[in-house]
Amino acid sequence: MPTFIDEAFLRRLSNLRFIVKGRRKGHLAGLHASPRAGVSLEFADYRAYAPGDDFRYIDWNVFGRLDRLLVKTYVHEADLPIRLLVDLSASMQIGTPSKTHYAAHLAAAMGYLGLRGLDRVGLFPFTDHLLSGLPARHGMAQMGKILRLLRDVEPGGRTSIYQTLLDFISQTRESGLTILISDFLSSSTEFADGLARLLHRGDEVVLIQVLDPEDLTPHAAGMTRIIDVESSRRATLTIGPRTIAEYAERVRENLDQLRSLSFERGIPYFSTTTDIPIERFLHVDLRKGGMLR
Amino acid sequence: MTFLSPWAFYLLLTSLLILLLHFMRARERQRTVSALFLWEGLSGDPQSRAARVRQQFDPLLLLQLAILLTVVLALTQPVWRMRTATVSGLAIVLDGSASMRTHLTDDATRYDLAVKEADALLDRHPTTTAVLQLSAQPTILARPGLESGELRNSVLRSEPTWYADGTAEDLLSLLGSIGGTSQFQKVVIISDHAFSGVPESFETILTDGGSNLSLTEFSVRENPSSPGVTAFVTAQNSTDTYQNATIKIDDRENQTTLSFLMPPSSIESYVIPFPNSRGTLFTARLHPDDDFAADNRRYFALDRPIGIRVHWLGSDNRYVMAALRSVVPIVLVDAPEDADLAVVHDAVAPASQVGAILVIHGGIDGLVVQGEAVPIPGIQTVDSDHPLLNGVDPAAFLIREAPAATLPASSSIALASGAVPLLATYADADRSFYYLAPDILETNLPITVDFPILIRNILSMLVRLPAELSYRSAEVGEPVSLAGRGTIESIVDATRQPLPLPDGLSTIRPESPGFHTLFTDRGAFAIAVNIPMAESSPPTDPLQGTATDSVLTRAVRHVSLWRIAVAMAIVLLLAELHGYSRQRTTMRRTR
Repeated sequence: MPTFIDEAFLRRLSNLRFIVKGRRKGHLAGLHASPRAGVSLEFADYRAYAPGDDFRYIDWNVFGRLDRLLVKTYVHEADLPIRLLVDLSASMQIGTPSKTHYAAHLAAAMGYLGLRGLDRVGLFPFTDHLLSGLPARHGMAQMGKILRLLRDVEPGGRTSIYQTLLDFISQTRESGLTILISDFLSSSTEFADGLARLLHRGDEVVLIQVLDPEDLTPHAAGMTRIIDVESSRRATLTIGPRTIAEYAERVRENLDQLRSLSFERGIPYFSTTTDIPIERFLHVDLRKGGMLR
Repeated sequence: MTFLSPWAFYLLLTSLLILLLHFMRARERQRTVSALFLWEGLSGDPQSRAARVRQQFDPLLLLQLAILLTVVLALTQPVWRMRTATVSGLAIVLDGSASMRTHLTDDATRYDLAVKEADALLDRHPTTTAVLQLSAQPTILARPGLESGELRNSVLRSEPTWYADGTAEDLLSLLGSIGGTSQFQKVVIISDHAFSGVPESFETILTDGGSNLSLTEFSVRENPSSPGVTAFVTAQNSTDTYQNATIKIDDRENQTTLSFLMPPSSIESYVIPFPNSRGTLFTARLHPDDDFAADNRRYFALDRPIGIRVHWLGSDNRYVMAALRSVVPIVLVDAPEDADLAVVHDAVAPASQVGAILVIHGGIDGLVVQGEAVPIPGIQTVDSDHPLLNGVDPAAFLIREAPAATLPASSSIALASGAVPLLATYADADRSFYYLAPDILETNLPITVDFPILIRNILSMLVRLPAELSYRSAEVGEPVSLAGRGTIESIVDATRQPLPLPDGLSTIRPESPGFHTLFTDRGAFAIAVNIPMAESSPPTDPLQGTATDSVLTRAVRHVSLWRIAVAMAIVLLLAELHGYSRQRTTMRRTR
């Protein structure tokens, strides 16, 4: 897979930053608010003094007025582990440019945004299982590893998001921001269980669906042998306006199903096609959707 | 529109290959999708027959066929005949040299094509046209002012000559005889080669083509110190392929053959021994035949009489004379010393008779003495290998009676009946004789086919007079001197047609190849006449500019269309590539 990040592209991303809705339990200082009270300029709350607390955080003004020992707590600004799960199965290779190419480009851009925000970023490519990935790490050295992994990994095979999520949960213990990039073209909704487990662990999950325009509106006519790129199963039918309309209806139902699923679980869901420039998707769609600012 | 290379249309057959490959492809289009489940269960659209046909005949196929068609069209070298305004004076010059007899197809020669072209020109210029035939003997076929029908007939009736090419000087001289070049606004030469030295305003239409394998030289020389002759032959292969060639030389009695491989565009010379030849007239034939067969055959005659001068002694016998004449021309001479052969029939020759003598029912004083006639019950072959009996079956002979005879002891007897010699030969330093004992009228010899053969055998054993040294033969149109051959009585050409003999004729100018025979009071002489050697060689002075090997290569009023066809092919090819690229892109997008 070619390297597709250049300096000019990165410069145009420099004003973007992830927005995290909840407070994250990062270990290291970062730019995201942590649920742990800690030392920072942002006041969080009062609580009763307990032996062992640092005397420096006792609010003596309150003690003077109320004769109670209360300790001030502050928002602890923590780093955010961002994990990018990128679908590299055979179905993602459809189109020109391929969905794989687009997804990898997108993952690289988001990884860069995360690392630039002092977050830890990890990359986990997957097919029907989790492939060898990169655990979340700090620093721009990680960017190089991400690009190398995206370049070197061999796409192909079937897709199983459910199995991937199970593998992912077992391999990563810390919750964080998990961005799942796939075409989500699956007849099964089993992966909803995997998402539920991820949410239960406390992860913030974002679904980004990458489709080829031909996935939505195929341009075909006449007697056509249709071959599934992953299973090689075949079907032959005569494609005409009626068939195209029926197909579009099925695709719409499939997308609605995914949209409903994410809505019910409060998961941000974004959909794009490979003919939409990635920069536009980042600057317009993800900002409008509240994922970036 | 004319196609200069119509054979290229055969290349259209390759379209079958394109169609075959097209129909061998999968009928259904293939489409690779991300998720088959979205397609499964769809009922599909009904497809009309027209739609199915449309799907099979994709535009790229039509483009490919169109490209093939335009390429083939370009290869056929289409030519558009432009109609031109009638000119005030037109001279059409038909090349009438021998090489115009070269066949371009089975039933059309270069000359036929030239006539066709001339006919087309006459269509455009029905009047004020002169038609000339140019060769070493140029002629005017039609003078200006002839009525259109006559003009056309004079062209259509004309035949090519056997002469060599005419020259530019010949042409200008001929034009001068009908008013000069200034009388003609246009002069069109239709020939198989370009003419150098003609004014630039003269236009040329080429009618070349055809393959040629030729004998360009042939001569024969008697071996000075041994029997037979030696032939000298030069063969030329003007084709672009190797040729398995065979040269056969015959002297009307014997034949010798030489086979060899000739490289393309080569000239090979050979010395061919012909030791068993005793002939005078030689014909060399080169195989295989080609489009110009006339130069595959060349003739040569040794410079000596082809007939036998006979001094007849005794009574006439028309059977013997007929048998002699069936073999060679016979000239009777009175003086024994002028004769090649003395025939002694029913008489006794004097002892002074020398040279070759054929004795039939007679004798030679003191040498061959006949006695009383005795019945001949049967004929015995004494020496079956005797050269006199070559091809003769003695069993066919019936002899009622023959005289007994005394012959020299060293005589060689071929046939006898007991002690009676019937057929014998004898030779010493002064004479050689051939003895046939019976009276012809007492035998069945005149009515047997073997009798002329027997006479031929006798004559073939005669010692021939040595020929004058002669190393060349005459060419058609070349003056041949008749001096030194006596008083001319008649002359016939190769087809035995007598030629007129004007008074005071000392030379003849043969008009066709072959053996011409000259009859004089000194005997019969053969004149071997060949087509001019230069007619066997391909044109060496090509037209400037676009001249090629094709028929009608450059007609000034013809517009070549092959460039347009090539341009169309390129445009179609680009369109096909674009279409193919788009199709591939679409397929890639859908996979």
